[in-house]
Amino acid sequence: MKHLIILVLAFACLSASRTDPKEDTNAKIKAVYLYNFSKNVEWPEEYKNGSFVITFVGNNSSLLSELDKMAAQKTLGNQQISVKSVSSISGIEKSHIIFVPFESSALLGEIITKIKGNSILIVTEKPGLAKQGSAINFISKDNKQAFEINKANAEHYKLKINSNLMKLATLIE
Amino acid sequence: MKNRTLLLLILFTGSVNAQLDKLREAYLYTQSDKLNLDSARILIDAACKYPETKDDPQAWYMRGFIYKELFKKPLPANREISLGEEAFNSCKKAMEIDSSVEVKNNNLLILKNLSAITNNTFGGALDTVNYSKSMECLELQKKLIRYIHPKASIDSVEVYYNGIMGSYFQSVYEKSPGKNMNYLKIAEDSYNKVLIRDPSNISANYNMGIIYYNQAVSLIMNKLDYDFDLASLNNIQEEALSWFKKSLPYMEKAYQLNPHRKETLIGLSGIYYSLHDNEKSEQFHKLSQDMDADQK
Repeated sequence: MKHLIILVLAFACLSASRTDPKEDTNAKIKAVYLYNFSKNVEWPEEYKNGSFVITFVGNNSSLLSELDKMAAQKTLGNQQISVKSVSSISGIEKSHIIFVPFESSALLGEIITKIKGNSILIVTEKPGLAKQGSAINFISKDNKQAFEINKANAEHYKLKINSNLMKLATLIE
Repeated sequence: MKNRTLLLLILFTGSVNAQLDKLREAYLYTQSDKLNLDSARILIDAACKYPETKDDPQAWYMRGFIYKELFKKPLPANREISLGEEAFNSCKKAMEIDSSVEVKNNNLLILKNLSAITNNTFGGALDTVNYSKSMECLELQKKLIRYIHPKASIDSVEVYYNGIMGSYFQSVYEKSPGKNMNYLKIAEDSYNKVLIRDPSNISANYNMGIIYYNQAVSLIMNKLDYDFDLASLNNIQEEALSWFKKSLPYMEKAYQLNPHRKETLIGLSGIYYSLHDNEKSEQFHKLSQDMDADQK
């Protein structure tokens, strides 16, 4: 009888075990996208040595922790992946990708000025930013994670985007 | 105890003949000093076939008692439901032969005891090996409740036991998500049985929402690898999306039934977040935080 009483309580109290912010599904999907972006964009030769640096503008994000996990497990050719988070934009020009999260979107203009002359893929996640300088902008489409590409913004930084990536993107001019 | 006193009265005041001696002997084998239920079973089965005693309500009552004891003897997971069924059928037979209040009351006492044992067996057998026994217990319990309380709703019995079955298998599945889909299916089927009978059952609605939500989360967090190419990533997203969408109406129903349950608010915030509806996700997140603030 005691066993049954315990079970009755369990029926009433099962909890949302995975609504835990540590298990952020959107962050995991974005991390997988970012890894795919890294593999499907070609950087100039001088960027193919040393660590592959992903700079995250901001902190305290579940995406940042997903990127750390990814960096610990994966490489890009012979390049180790290094993820760094910055609270200011000084020193960000030593990056391959700069990810600008939604809450740091206002810094995009400054970032663009700062990285002039470098080959850096700017990835954002606020509607409209692909028209304001980012090469790839995360959007949601039909309840799913999707992305826009502004090819001209990529080419401006001497980056070549693979046609596979282009096919799956919403193209922005 | 009352049962046994009545048995003694019945058995030792009857006319003396060979078959009644068998009944007495069978009874004596149920007593602690001479306890031998297997011998009692042989004797009572024979007595219920003899022409002199086969229509004797006392014999059938006795049979019900002995089979009930046989059913109860092992640990719950080892009990044979067929023995419980025999006990039930024997008491029913006794009451069919003699519809007097005394016979009815005596047999109903056995049946009520049998119902408690069945309830205990349901819980005791509820594990991943013996769960089919728990399902059989539910069927026996429904028959017993129908007989003991003819006006009681069987729906409430289904809701009660299927709710327990669902939450047990849900919790087992959640320990290793994606590993044994059969457990998930049992949980899902059990909650569906609850919801067919009680669509406003908050726990079943909420838990169905959680089952589907966790399926989607598990798919993304455990199956999606960083190496997945864009096409595979898209497929995983599609599959997860269908689980999230399946989860939403159950969680919304749970919210509609009780808008002040924090777990539901957190669940809805999580589902809308995963569906990229950040406005609604924030709305429910804020409601759950307000609830925390109210409680401080």
